[in-house]
This record gives sequence, structure tokens and C-alpha cells, in this order.
Amino acid sequence: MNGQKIRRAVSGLTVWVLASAVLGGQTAGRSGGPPQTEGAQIQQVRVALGHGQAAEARRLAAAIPGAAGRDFASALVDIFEGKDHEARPKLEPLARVNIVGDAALELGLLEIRHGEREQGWRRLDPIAAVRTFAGPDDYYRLARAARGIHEYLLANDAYNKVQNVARADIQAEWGDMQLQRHKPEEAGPSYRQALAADPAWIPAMVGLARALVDESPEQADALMVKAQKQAPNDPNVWLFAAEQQIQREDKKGAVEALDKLAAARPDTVDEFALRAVVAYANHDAAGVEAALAKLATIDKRSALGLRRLGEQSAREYRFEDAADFARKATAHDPDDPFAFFDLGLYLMRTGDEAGARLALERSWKLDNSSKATKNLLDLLDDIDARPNAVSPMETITSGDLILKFSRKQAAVLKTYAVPLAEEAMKTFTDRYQFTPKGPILIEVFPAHDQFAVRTMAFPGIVGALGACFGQVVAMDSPTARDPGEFSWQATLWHELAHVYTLQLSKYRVPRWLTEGISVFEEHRRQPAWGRELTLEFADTFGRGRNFGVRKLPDAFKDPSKLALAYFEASLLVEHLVALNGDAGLRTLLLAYGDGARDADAFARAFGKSVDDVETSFKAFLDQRYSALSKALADPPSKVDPANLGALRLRAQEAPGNFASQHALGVALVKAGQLNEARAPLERAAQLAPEASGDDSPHAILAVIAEKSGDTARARRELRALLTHDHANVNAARKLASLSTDPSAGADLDFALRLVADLDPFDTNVHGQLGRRLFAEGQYQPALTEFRAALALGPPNLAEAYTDIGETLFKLGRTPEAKRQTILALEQAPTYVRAQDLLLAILGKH
Amino acid sequence: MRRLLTWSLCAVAIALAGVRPAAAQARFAVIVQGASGDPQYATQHRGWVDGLAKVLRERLGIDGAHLFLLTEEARAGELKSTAENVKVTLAGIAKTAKADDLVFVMLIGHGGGDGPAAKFNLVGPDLTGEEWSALLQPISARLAVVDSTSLSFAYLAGLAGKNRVIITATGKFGEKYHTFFPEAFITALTATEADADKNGRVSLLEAFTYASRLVAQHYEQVGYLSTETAMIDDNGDGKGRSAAQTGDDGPVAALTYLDAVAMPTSSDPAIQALLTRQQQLTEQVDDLRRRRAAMTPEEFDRDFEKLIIELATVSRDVRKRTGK
Repeated sequence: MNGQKIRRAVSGLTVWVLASAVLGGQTAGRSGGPPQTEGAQIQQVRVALGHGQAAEARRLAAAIPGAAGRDFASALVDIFEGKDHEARPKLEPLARVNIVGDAALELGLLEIRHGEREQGWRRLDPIAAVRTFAGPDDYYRLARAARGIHEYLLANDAYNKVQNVARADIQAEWGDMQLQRHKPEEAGPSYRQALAADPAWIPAMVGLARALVDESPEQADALMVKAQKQAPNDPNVWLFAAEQQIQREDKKGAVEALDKLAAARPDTVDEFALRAVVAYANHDAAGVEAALAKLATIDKRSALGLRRLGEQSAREYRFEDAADFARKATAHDPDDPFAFFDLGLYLMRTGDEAGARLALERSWKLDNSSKATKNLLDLLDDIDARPNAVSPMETITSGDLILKFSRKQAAVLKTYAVPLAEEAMKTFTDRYQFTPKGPILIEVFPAHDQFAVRTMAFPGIVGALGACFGQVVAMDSPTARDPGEFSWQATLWHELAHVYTLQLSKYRVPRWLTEGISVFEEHRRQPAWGRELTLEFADTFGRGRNFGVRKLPDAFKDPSKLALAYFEASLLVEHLVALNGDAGLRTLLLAYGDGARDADAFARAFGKSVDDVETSFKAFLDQRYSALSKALADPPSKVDPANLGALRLRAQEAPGNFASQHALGVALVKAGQLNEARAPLERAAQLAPEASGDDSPHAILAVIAEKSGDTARARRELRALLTHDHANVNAARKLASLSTDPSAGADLDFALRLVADLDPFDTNVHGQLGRRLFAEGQYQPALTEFRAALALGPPNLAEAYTDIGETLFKLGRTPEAKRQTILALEQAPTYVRAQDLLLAILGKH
Repeated sequence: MRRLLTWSLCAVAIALAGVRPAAAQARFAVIVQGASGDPQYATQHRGWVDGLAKVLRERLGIDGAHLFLLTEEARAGELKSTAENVKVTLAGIAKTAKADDLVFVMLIGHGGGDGPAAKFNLVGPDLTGEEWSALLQPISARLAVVDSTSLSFAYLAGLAGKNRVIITATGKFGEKYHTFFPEAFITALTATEADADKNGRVSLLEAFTYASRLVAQHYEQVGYLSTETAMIDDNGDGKGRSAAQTGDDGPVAALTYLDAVAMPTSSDPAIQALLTRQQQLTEQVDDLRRRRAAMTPEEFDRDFEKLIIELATVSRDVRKRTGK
């Protein structure tokens, strides 16, 4: 069936305006006098349904004088209420009279809903082939028919023709199609346009809530509250409510919502697909089977139940299971492009990129209009370095690790990433006494949007730096963001910790725990990592707005709280480790893996109740953050930032208040009183040494010291700043530039190391750092730096090869040393240093 | 394909056969500072002229009598950079310079005009590309021309020829903005880092490569997209290549130096024998490197290793005996 489909477009064809409209006149949401035509009367029924007023719609339908119009309108209400069996006999005679009319459309869609796909497609095909348009209804009818037969581009063309029409029904359905096709950013405006045309249009409210739920859950909730209030029995409302409860792991709430859906619109595939999901979440295999069996009685061709189960498995980070469900879905409905897309997406998350490509190519064949599918296939072309790849990648294997980097970046990144990943694996294997299932695939993308596509199939997720799917890690490379914006090494460490927590817990670890452990592991590897939000947290804590043990899981569901939730989770993990060591943490993960709930898991791991831990955690936070949070309190009074006298007075009155000291210091600097600025800034630095950025006390003190010629002091301040502000590459570069004095070797080493870590594509740093490490006898790290320098295209190849050869010789790797030295001499045959090295390697001293 | 490769290699070999020890060469240098059009550029361009003249005289040992400065505001010993003075100067050099000599010309200033018709801006009427070509034609010496201005790309094809190294600051007709290349090139002529083959000298190819690197770094540091791509042509086809590209251009420039180094000699026969052997080995290594494309990697590695070990040994012995 699909193989015979031909891409058709509305645009470009001659538009014939019919003299008489079939259903003209009233538009959805438009109020006015009594309806003049049958079409307008039917439209009133549609409007009532759009407002969730089924009874009113029924009343309006019954009042239509003409039998045909009355039957059709009545069928619309039947469909709304899930009474397809009653709608069908009303629609069939009307569809025979006009095979391209509204009744035929509704009947075709009804047939597809009930698995009579060929019949439904045959009925919709002529409607989608119509090219005579008298008004928006004709485009709308064509769009719905085209969508029904998976002609999405055609449907979109038709919707585009009516994009400025103020019709809530049209715009909301266009939004639905965009949402179905993973385009919430395009669906949102359509829904908003629908609500502008009719603020009471329930499908638009529900649709907009769906589009916003990830980005702005508060707005989504507000829309749903409004929708439920206006239309408490609308099935669309309860369907979305059920989806939401499932997302929020509220299975009881989900069942309640599904019951309400069933009452409003019984026997839908949507309902039973979600009932299967709830049963799956409850580990109720029989319930899953029962729900799927019931779904099959409605539409035996539908793979929706299996797809939903795949989504739920993926939500639970069980990507193997998700792929299994998606695979079953593709077998069940080989014409469903979404099922193949899901399979491709999940297989990418399991690391089976070859299998993913096959599935995605099949999806593309079924629907070559899907941006999501194209994104993933394009990315796979890059990953597989196909000839048409835009940014081909290179694969490096190390034991159980498979690392993929952009070909242009591989030479540099592998010198850093491979040893770091190996170190992480060894550290975590020892710490958690667990060897994860491999291979572990690590993909490092040079552009953030590539990472986003790898993760979600679409560009975006700007806040995310990396993702772990258990055996697959995807992340931003240092070039994906501006230097200094993040530490890519901390990200790699973080994501690899997830490999252990996910696998050790059989993918059942709660999000707060896996994120908390990953952030805490960052901190263990490097004290400044994972502690970037210390001041923000202390401030929040001081205001009593932190989450605590019980509320932490919910904080992870709110994007606005996410950053602090990560931070507090890491503190909780630190506290848990203090309670019972790494063994306790491991036990906790195993307990969750066994399906234990919090109370049981905490008891097994720490011998304490959740409340006990809540109490001890509070004490832990008090002990650590009370002083800092006190220092970060609001200043005692508001003062004009230019009024030095008032600022001085306030600073004297509040010596323990960071803001008061800092504001005075900043004002004095602005006034050119650098010497006077030192004292309040020093005080501020003592009160909150974790303050970071160019306006932090240490950063300003460094500037003052440099201006006054006190380079040693400037270096001290920068070192203090970088102790916490670990990703501040500009401060590190500044420190390096101030460390030319031989006595500043330690500072220079520190600064160069940090610059090389944060911005490994800095062409100047590696050779310099390598030479310092070599001079200190640190040959292996020096080799890493020299190799990175070579990979970046050094100004002098002969020197670069000789550096490497010399280091390899020191490491006793004589054959490699000789090879590198000869490479140097190929560049520069008379290069004395290389000649002497060659002779030394050959023992010809 | 194979025939073409053979021809190409022969062409390189012929070109290189003309190279002889620099010490016997006479070296001429002409610096032409064009019309600046703006006091800021006048100062900058004059600074480059003075800097380059100093490098040529003091670091690279160009005889003052062979150094010609044609400037916007001529000082004592200089000529105004008019078309007429350019003609007179180049005609004079053409009469003096012999086939084995080297003539280096560097243009500093602005380019003007459009596309292939672009010209270097002199004081007063400009010279067309054809006129420049005609003026240079009588010079039988190896010719190295560096047009360091915007829109200089037009001169790459216009001046290219056998036994010539042509370097332009820009690589497209559209690159019309003021260039950073002159400063980078003058720096490169004496930069230790530019000496890629570590022989203590900077060839024109090394200067070109290093200057191109400095230009790229300059634009990175100022945060602008680069508006200049320097090109080099030394195979005479006028197509050239940038430093980032590979191609046939480079072998002649790699063996063209603005300085002169006398062959070391010794009155001690044993040391002289070593020096002679060192020179022979160096030439054999250079020859081997040139023949590399026609060899298998294994053959090259084997022969190279043998030669380079001996060269290293002899060089060490020379140093031991001479203390240098």
C-alpha cells in the first residue's frame, strides 16, 4: 500500500473555487446569530465538541432539520464519545452519496481506527486527491485525509494554505500533527493560534500542554487545570492526564485518569495502550497481555500498545526492552514509520548503530518527510564516516571502550579522553565492585546539535552536556561550547559513572541517586568539579528552599529546579557515603535493582529509615553550609551602588555579609581607589571563597595586584579563584601569562595543565606544557602533551617529532623513539638535536 | 597517469638542477612602498619597509648597493615609488643580475581595481600586470616576488614563470581588504620557529608557510573571519597553492634563501674530509627526499635511515672536532 504512495502537493496546483460550498459559513469559535445553513449548524456541533460539551453537541445535532446533516452531526458526537459502532451506520450512506465529503472522511478515519486500514485508505485517498478548494474546510478536509494515509507533506501543504485562518479546529489539528511528528516547537504556535481564535478550545489547550510539558511544566499544568475545569468529562483531557501521571510515576493517578477517559470515550486504543503501560510499570505481565488483547479487539493492526510500552521502557532506561517492544511493534505493523523510528532510536541508545540504521532507513522509506528520522540518519552517516558525511567520525578502541570523535578532533581528544575513560572505568569498577556489560560506546560530538540529535533526534537540549544510556555515552566535545563554559572531562567522568549506577541497579536507580552519584564522583575525581553551584545552593539553603531527601525526586521533574537538584543530590550521596561508605551506596543500588522502594532500600543500605536520613542530612547541611549561607544573606540595607560613604558604612556594620563587602570593593575599584578596595574584597573572598567569575573577589583582587605590579599576588589570587572556578579558561590563561618568572613554575604548570584540559585545541599550550613535564621527569604526561601538540599542527614539525622521540626514549620505548626521530629528520635532516637523539637511541654516543 | 607523474618529476628535477650554493650568488632586493592613501597606513607601511630593509641588510646580509627602496615619501638614497622609477630600477637590475643570482621584489601597500585587472597602487599612474611582467622579463636571475597587498592574487598568474617564486597575500579576486601578511612575512624571515627543517636558515617556502600561520592566528585572535589567503607559485603555472594545500608548488621556494651562507671549510684535511662528506650526505638526503614519490615507503625508509645515520654521525664528528 505504501509503496504505491506518490508524494503530492497542494501548492502549485490550480485552485478551483467552487460556486457552492459544502460546509461553509460559521467558523469554530465564532459566535453570532442563529445558523443559516446546515453546514453552519454542523459547525456549531463541532464547536460544542471542541469545548468539551458533548451533551450540548448532542442537543444541537438533534435540532438540525435535515436528516443528512442531523445524522452526520450525530455521528460526530458518537465519535467524540467513543461510540464508533453507532457512528458508522450514520456515516456510511452519506459517504456513498459524496465520496469526497466530510462523512467519507470521518468514516475513513473510523475504519482506520478499527484496523480496516485498506478500506479506510481507499476511502481517504480520493479525498486527499481533491484539488478544488472553496474555502478553509476543503483544505482542512484534505489535510486530515492526507494525514490519515500518512501523506504528511501533503497534509502540511494543505495546513499551510490555511495557516492564517482563525479556526481553532484547523489550527489545533495542525498542532496535533506537528506534535505527533516530534515538533513541539512548531506545534506550540499552532495551538496558540487556535486558542487565539477560540480560547475555550479544549484540544488546543491539551495540545499546548503536551507541547510545553518538558519545557515548562508549570504552564502545562495550568492549561490542564483550566481544561479540566471547563470540560471535566472531555476524553482528550483525561488521556493527557493519564500520560502525565505515568510520566510522574503516579500509577494510581494514571489508572484514575484512564477510568475517566474510559467513561468519556470507551474502547480506544489510546486507553488500552496506556493501561498496558501501567501494568508494565507494575511488573504485571498478565495485565500487559490483557490490555494488549483488549486493544487488539479495537484495532488488531495497531502497534500503539507496543510502542507505548517501548516508550515506558525507555523512560525507565531499559533500552534493550524498549528496542524489543519497538521490534515487536514493527513486526505487528510493518507500515508504521513511527514504530521503525522508535526502534532506530532505541537501538542507538543500546549502541547497536548498525541495527538502528536499518530500522531508520525503513522508517524513512515509509515516511520520507520525518525530520527526526533524517536527523538520525544524517548523524549515523557522520558516525559511520560515510562518503556523504558532513562531519565524519573516527573510531578508537581501547579494551571494552569504543570511542568516536570527529575525525578532525580525534588526534587531540583521544590523547586525553582514552586515558581518562580508562581511569574512570578502573576507578568505578574498583569502587562499586562491578564490571559493567560492554562494550561501552562513547561518542563525543564537535557540535552540540549533533549531541542533541544523538540523544533526542532533534537539535536543542541546550542545558545538557552529556547523556548516558547504560552502555552508550554521548557528549559535547570541548568545541561544542565556548571555551570555559564547561569541563568536558568532568562531563565524561560524570557520564561514565552513570554506566555503573544504571547497570548495577538493573536500570532501576532513581534519577536523584544516579545523578547524585555522578556529580559526587566528579567531585571525588577533582574537588572543584561538581561544586559549581555552591553559592547558589548555600543561598537556597539559607532561605530554607532546599529539597531534602523526600522532595528531591520531585525536584528532578521540574526543569527550573534541576540544576540545584543535581547539586543537592550530590551532597546527599556524599552524606550517604559518610553514613556507610561506598559499600552502603553499592547496597543501595543493588536494593533498587531488586525492586526495593526507598524505605526498604535505605534500611538495607544504611540501617536507617528515610526520615532518619532526612534528619541526619539536614544536620550535615547545617554543619557545612550554615556559615556560608549566613554570609550570603541579603545585605542589611539597600544602598546606592555609587554612594561610597553609604557602602562603607554598611560594610562596617555588616562585616560578615558578602554582598556588603563585595559591593564596597567593586565601587572602590570603579572609583579608582584600588588600594582601598583590597580590604573589603579580601573580606568578601574569605566569606565566600567559592565565588567565581570575573566579578568575584579573587578575580578583582588579581586585577588590582597586576595593575599595581604585584605579579606574585595576582598569581595567588588567580590560583585561589581557579581552585573553585575550575572551568575559567581565561583566568587560567592569565595565570600562565603572569607565570613567566622562573620562580612561578608551579603556577605555570597549574595554569598550562588547566588550559590544556579545558581547551585542548589551544595550539600553543601543549608543547609548552610537555616541555615542562619533561623537565620534571614526568615523561608519560609529557608524551600525552607532545602528541596533542603534534595533532594540532605545530609550527615546527621537526621539533614536535623530536619532542615525542625524546620522551619515548626516556620511557624506554626505543623502536617508537627511533621512528619519531627519523620522522623529525625527514623534516629537518640537519637538525642537530634530532641527529644527536638518533645516535643516542642507536647507542652511538 | 603514470606518464604525467614522470613528466612532473622531471620538471622538478630540471628546476632544481639550477640551484647552486648561495655563497656564489649575488642578491638584489627591491622594496616598493605604494601609495598609502591614509596617514595611518602611511606610517604602518613605512614601518614595514624600514623593518624589511633592516632585516635584509643586517640579518640576511644583502649588500646595501643591491638594496633598492622605492617609497611613498623618498628619503636619502631612496626613490619615489612611481612607475617610472620602478621601470628604471628593474631595468638596471636586469642588466646587472646574472642567471645564477637572486632578485627579490616585495610590494607593500594597497591593491586596487577589480578581479584580474587589479593593480598595485604606485605613487602616480600604476603599472598593469602586463607591464610588471614585461619589466621583469629581462631579468635572467631567479626572481622572487612578494606582492603583500590586498587584491594581489591577480599577480600570481600574471607574474608566474620558470625560475620564479611568486607569493601573493591574497588567494581570491574578492580578497580586497588591507592585509596583515606583510608584517607576518617580515617576521617570518628571521623567526627561529619558521625554520622548519632546522638548518639554521629560513627559505622562502618556510617564510611563506610560517607567515600564513601567523596570519591565521592573527584573525583568530582578533575574532574576525580571515580576509586573506596567501598563495605561492613556483612551478610557473600561475595557479599556486595556499600553505594549507598540497601541490606541486614549493620545491624551488624551499631551496631559495635571501641570505647567503658560505660553505664551511677547514685547513685541517681530516676536518675538511668530514665537511665534504657532510655536504655530500646532505645533498644525497635532499635528493632522496625529492625522489620519495617515486619510491615505495619501504625503499625510502631503508635508504633514508642509512643516510641519516651516517649524516648524524659525521655531523657529530664535525662538531666534536670544530667545537661548533
